[in-house]
Amino acid sequence: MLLAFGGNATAQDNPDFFEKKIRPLLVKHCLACHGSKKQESGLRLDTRKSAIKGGEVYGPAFSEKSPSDSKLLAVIRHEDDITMPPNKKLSASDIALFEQWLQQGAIWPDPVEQASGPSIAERWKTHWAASPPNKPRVPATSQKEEIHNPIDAFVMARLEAAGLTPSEPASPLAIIKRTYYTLIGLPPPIEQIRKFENEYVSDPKQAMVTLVDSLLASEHYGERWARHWMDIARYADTKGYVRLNEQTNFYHAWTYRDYLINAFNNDKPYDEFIREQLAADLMLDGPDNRSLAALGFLTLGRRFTGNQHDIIDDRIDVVTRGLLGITVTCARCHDHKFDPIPTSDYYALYGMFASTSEPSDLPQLTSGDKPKPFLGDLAEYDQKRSELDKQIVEYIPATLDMLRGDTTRYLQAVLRGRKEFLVPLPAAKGELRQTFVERWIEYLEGTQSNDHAVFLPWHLLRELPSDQFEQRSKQTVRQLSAKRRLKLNPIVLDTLSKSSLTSMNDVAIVYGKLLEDIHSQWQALVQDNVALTAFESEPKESLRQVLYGDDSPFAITPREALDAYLLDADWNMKLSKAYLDFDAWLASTGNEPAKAHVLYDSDRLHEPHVFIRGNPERTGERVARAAPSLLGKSLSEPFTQGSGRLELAEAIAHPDNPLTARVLVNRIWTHHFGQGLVDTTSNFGLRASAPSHPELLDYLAFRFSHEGWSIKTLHRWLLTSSVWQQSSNDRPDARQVDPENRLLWRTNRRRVDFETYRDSLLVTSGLLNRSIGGRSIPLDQSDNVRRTVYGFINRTSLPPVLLLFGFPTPDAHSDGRAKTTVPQQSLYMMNSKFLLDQAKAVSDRATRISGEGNSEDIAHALFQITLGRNPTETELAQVLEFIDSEDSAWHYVAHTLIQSNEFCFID
Amino acid sequence: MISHKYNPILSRRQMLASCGVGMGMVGLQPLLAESTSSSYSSKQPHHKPVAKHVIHIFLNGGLSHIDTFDPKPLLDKYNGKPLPIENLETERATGNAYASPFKFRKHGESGIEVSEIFPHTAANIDDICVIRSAYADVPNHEPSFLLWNCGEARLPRPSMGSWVTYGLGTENQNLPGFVALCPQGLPTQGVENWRSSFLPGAFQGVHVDTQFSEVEKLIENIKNGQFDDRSQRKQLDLLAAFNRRHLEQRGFDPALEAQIQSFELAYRMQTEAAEAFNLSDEPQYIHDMYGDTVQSKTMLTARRLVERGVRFVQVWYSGGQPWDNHDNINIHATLAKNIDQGIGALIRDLKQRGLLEETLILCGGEFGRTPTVELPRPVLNAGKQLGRDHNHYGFSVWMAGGGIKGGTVYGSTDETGWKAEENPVHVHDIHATMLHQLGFNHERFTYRHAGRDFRLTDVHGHVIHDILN
Repeated sequence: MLLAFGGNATAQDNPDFFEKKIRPLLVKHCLACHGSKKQESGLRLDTRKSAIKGGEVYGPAFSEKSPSDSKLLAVIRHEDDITMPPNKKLSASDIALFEQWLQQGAIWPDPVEQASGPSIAERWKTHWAASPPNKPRVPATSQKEEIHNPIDAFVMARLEAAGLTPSEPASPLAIIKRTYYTLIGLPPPIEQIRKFENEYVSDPKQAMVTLVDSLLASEHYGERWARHWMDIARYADTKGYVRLNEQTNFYHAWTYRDYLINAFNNDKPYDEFIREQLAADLMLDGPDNRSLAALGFLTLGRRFTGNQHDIIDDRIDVVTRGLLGITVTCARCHDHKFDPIPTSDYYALYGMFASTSEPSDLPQLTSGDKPKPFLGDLAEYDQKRSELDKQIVEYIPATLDMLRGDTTRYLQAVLRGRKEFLVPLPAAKGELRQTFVERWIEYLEGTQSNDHAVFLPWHLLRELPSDQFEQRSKQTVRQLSAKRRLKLNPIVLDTLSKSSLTSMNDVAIVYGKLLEDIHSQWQALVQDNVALTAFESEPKESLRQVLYGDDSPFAITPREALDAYLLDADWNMKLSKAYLDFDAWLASTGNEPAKAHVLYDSDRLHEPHVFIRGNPERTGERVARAAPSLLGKSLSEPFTQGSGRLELAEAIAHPDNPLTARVLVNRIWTHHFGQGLVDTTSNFGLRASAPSHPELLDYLAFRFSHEGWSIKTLHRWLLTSSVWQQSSNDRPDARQVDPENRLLWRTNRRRVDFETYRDSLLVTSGLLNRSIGGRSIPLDQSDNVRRTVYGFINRTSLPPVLLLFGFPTPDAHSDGRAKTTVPQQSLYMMNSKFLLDQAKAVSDRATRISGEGNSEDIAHALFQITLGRNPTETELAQVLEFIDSEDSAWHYVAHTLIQSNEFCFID
Repeated sequence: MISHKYNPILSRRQMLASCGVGMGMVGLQPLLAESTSSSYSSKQPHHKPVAKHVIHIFLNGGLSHIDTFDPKPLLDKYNGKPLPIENLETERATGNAYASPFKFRKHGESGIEVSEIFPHTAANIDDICVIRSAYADVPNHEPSFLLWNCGEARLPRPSMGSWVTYGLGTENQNLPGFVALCPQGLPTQGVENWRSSFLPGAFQGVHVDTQFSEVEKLIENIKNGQFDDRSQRKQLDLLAAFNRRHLEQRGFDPALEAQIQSFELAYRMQTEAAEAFNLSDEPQYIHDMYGDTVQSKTMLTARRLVERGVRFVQVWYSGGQPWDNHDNINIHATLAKNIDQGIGALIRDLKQRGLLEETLILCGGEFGRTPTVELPRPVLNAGKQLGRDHNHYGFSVWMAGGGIKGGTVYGSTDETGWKAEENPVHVHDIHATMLHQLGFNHERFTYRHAGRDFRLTDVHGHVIHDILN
C-alpha cells in the first residue's frame, strides 16, 4: 500500500501532473503563508511529508493512507469552518485538479536532495562549543620577551601567524589605571601611582603581581564585579508592572546584591555560586541561611502583571542565556530555528519553574541566631502587626467560608473551562471569582493522576460523550460501585447512583451539594467543639479534605487571596491597603531584618506539556523536567528530586558541561579586554560568532573548571599577561591588517561606564562614602555619595542618566552594554547639578592640597587628583591663561578636567 | 541584517552606532572611511521612501470607534435591548446595546461620516484614510499599549519610534531623533512605550512633558544653572584643546573623536532645542488655528519638531489612559474637544507647508470600545451605566499624509460594531504599512540580538497596499 503512494515507482508514473498542475497552484495560492518562510497554524505545504504531518491546529492536509479523505479539499471547496485561500476561492477547475490529484494518491515527488547541508543536530555535533573543552597544547613562538604566561603564547602565536607584532608595554601610569578600573572600578590614588611606577621600573612582573593581588584583596573588587553580574541577572529593586494592589518593590533585592559582593570578595568557586543561585534553599546545612539571598538570581525579574507564563519565561532566559549562553526561550513557541533546542527542552525547564512557588512571607536571613521580626522597638512592631492581623482574621476566614458554601456554582463554572482574557478584578458580593474557578480547575487536574477517592467518578464521567451521557453515566457509576478495590468514597458513589444524571452539570450539582452539606455539618460541629480536627467518619472526612485540606483550593495565604481578588471588593481594597501600608511602614523604618526573595519547591509538582505555539490553552506532548538536551544525554536525564533545580545546577556546574566554563571565561575576558574571545557573550550556539582564539578559550575554560572554578585566579592569569600590559595606541600598519584588533595587537581603549564615571568623580572630589553593602538608595538623592552599585533601580522608571550612558534596561538578561556616544551625555556632563557640585568639590580639594598655594600649585594639584599626573607646560599655560581671564574660577577648570577624554577613557 | 555588537568586520553602521549619534553623525565623522556629506545618511532603505517623518497621535485609553469614526445605526434600533448576536468576551461584563449619544454627519467630498465630537478633524477628512477594521489581540490596556508601540504585547522589544530612528537616523543632529510628547505625566506602561530595548540606547525616545514651557523642564540638563553662555563657550574651548592634544598623542580613534564632537553638538542643542520648543515665536494666527488647550499646543510642538527634522514624534493625549471611559462615554466629547482643533490644525498646517506628503500621521487608541453598555462593578465604576468596555475585536484608527490615500474608508466592522469584518487590519499590518512608506520592507528590516534577527512585525504583518497613493 505504502509503495503505491510514496515509492518511486508510482511517482515516476505520473510525476508531471503534480509538477505541472498542482505545484504551481500551491506556489501561487498557499506557500506564502504555508511554506518554508511562514507556517500559519503550523501548516507547511511544500513537501508531501509536511502536508501529511499537517498543521498544529487542524491536523493533516490529507490522510497518508487515503489522500482523498482530505481536509485540504474541504477547505478549498469552502465546505469547512475555515476557508482557503482567505481572500478568494479557487476556480472550479483548479479545485477539480486538486480533487483529481488527491484521488490518484496525491503523488508528490520528493524534492531532489538539496544542497542544504547537514541538519542542525549534525552541525551541533561538530560545533566548537558542543563538547567539553580539552586542554590544548600551549604553542611555541619566537617571541620570548613577551611571554609571561600561556595566555601570551596563544595570543603571540596568532599575531605571528598574521605577520603582526604586539605593541610596546603601556606607561606604568596607564597600566595601573586600567588595572584599578578593571578590578575595582575606581581610579588609583596618586601615592599608589608613584609607588607602582617605581616598582614597575625595577621589576615589572613582580610589580604587576603585587598590584593585582592587592586589588583582588580590596572589598571594592566585589562591588565592581557584583555590578557586572547584576547586568546578567537583570537586577532591579522593583517588579515592573504588577497586579492591582500588588506591592511594586522588591524590598530585599539588596540582599542579593550584597550576596554577590561577598561571593566575589570571598572568591566563591563558580560552581558553588551557580548552585546557590539556582537552589540555595535545597543546600542549606545548619542554621546559617544567608545563602538564600542568592535566589534573587531567579526571583528579581519582571512580574508581567502577574502572568506566570511570562515570569517563568524570564527565569528560563536568565538561566540559559546567563549561565549557558544558549537562547532557549526561542523554543517557547517553536523549535529553535538555529540550535538543537526543541520546544520540549523549553517546557522541561518550564515544568521545573512551574513546580516552584514564592512564599508570601519572606525568610529572614540569619547566621544562626534566632530571627527577630523587627530590629527596632518591638512594641511598635507588635502593635502594627496586630492591626494587620485583626483585619486578616476579620476578612479571610469569612471569605473562604463564603466560597466553600458556593461550591456547586464553582464546579459548574469549572465545566465552562478557563477564561481567555483573564484579568482579575475586584468582585461584587456574590459574583463568581474566575480566579477561584482556575484554582478549582488546577486542583481537579491534580486529582487526575491517581485514583482519587472523591473525584475519580467525576473524571470518568467527564469523558463521556454528551449525547449518550444519561445512558452511559448510569453504567459508569454502576461499574465503579462494583470495584471495591478502588476504595472510592461511598457517599459520592451512593449519591451519584441515586441521582438522575443527564449531563455533567448534574454531576457538578451532586458534588457541589455534597460538599456544601459537609461544610455546613462541619461548621455546626466546630461551633460546639473548637478543638475538633476531623470527622469521625472516614468518608465524610475525605470529603472535608476537599474543602479544608492542605492541597485544597482553599489552602491559600491571605496575600494570595488578595492577589486573586477573592474577597468582596470593599474588603479586598481595605485588606490590600493594610498590607501595602504595613510593608511600606516596615521598609521606611529601616529596621526590617534582612530577608531573601526566595522560591521553594511546591508540594504539588508540575508535570509539563508542550504548549503549542506557546499557548497555554493548547497542550501538546508530555515532557519530563530536565536540563536542555544539547548538553548531552548524561547531563539531561529527567529530574528526580523535587522541581529539579539542584539537578539543573549540578548539570550546569559540571566540568563536562561544554558551555558553562567557556561562557564565564569569555565574560571575564570581555570585561577586561573590552571585547570577547567570542563576541556574542550570551550566545554560544551555532549562530555565535566564531572565537578569535579558540584554543585559548578552551585552555582557560579547562583550567578554570578543573582547578577549582576560582574567578580570582582567572583574573590573575589574565592581568599578569603581557597582552594586558600593551599600549593602546594606534599603529596604522597593524590596523591595516586587523582593524578590529581581534588578534590583540594592542589593548583596547575604552570609555568608562557610568558607574565608574560617577564613582571616580566621587573619589576625585573626596566625597565617596566607602562603606560596603546595605539597602539601596536613590541615585538622585542629593546626599547619596555611595558607590553607584547601591543605587535604587526602579525598572519602570530607570534614572534617565543611566539609560543615556548605556546602562542596560533590567527588563531582561543583558549580554553587554551598548557603546553609544550621544550629545545628551555631554549635556549631562556640562550641565547636571551632580557634575557642577563635583567640580566645585574637586577644586576645593585641589586648593586644600596645594596648601592654598599659587595658581601654578593649584593647577598641579588639580591635574594630579583628576588625571594622576602633572600638567605639561602647554597645559599649564592654557590653564593659567584661562584662570586669569574674566569671570573665571578654579571649579571651571576642574569641571573641564572631569569632562576630558583623558578622565573618561581608559588607555 | 545589522549586527551591532557582533559583526566581525566593523561595519559602517556599527561604527556609526557605536561612535556617532546614530546616522546623523556621518557628516561629522571625517575620519571614517565611508563618510558622506549627506546628513540624511540613513541605512540604505529597501525602496524609495514616500514619508520621512511620522507623527503618531495616541489617544491612550481606547477611543470608542462607535462614537467617533464608525457609525452604527443598528445600535439605535436595539438601544437598551440585547443585541441579536451574543456579546463577545471582553475584560468586563457588558449588557444591552448602547447607541452612541453623538450625531454623525457626512464630511468633505468623500462624504465620510464622522461624529460631531471631531468637527475639525472631520473638516480634513479628504486627507484622511479611516481604517474601520483594525483589531488587536487582547482587551487589556498594558499589553495593547505595548503591541501598538513595540509590536509585541509582553516581552521587551524596541518601540517603533526606535526602529524608525535606527533605520533612518535623524535629520537634525541638534535634536533627538525620536521625541515622545506627553503632557501631564506618563501614559500607562510609561517609558516602555518608547524604549529602545536591545537597540542602542541612542534610539530611545526622549520624553517631554509639554505641560511646561520652560525648556529646562522639557529636556534634562539642557541649561547650565551656573555659567552664562560666554563662560561655557570658553570652557568648552579649553576642553577641546585638551581633548585634541590627547587625541593627537594617541593617533586614530573614532570614539575619542565622537566624544569631542558630542560636546559641540550638545552645545548647539542647548540653543536649538530651546528654540524648537518655544511656541511664542509662532504668529498669532497659528496660535488661533491650533487653539489653546495643552493637547492642541502639543500638536503645534509636533509640527515644529517635524519641521526641524525630528524623525518620529509621538503625541500622547496625557498621562495614564484618559480615553478609558468605562463609566460614561460622554466624557469622550470633552476629551475630543481638547485635541480636535489641534489635530485639524496640524493636518492643515502641514499641508500648507508642503510637509503633509512627507509626514505620515497615525491616530488612534490601543483598541476600541464595546457597542454594549458596561455593567457596573464595585469600586471601579460607581454604579453608572453610561460607559463601554474595551473592544479589541474591531475598532477604528486613521492615517493621513505620507502617501496615504485621503478621503477613503478601508475595511469595516460588522453591523453591531463588535468585530472587524471586511479587510481586517492587525496592528502588525499598520506597522508594516508605516515601514513601507518610510522605505523599508518590514520583513527585511531586522536587528540581530540574542542569537536571532528581530523585526518590528515579528513574523506577521502585511502592507495595506489599497490605502496607498
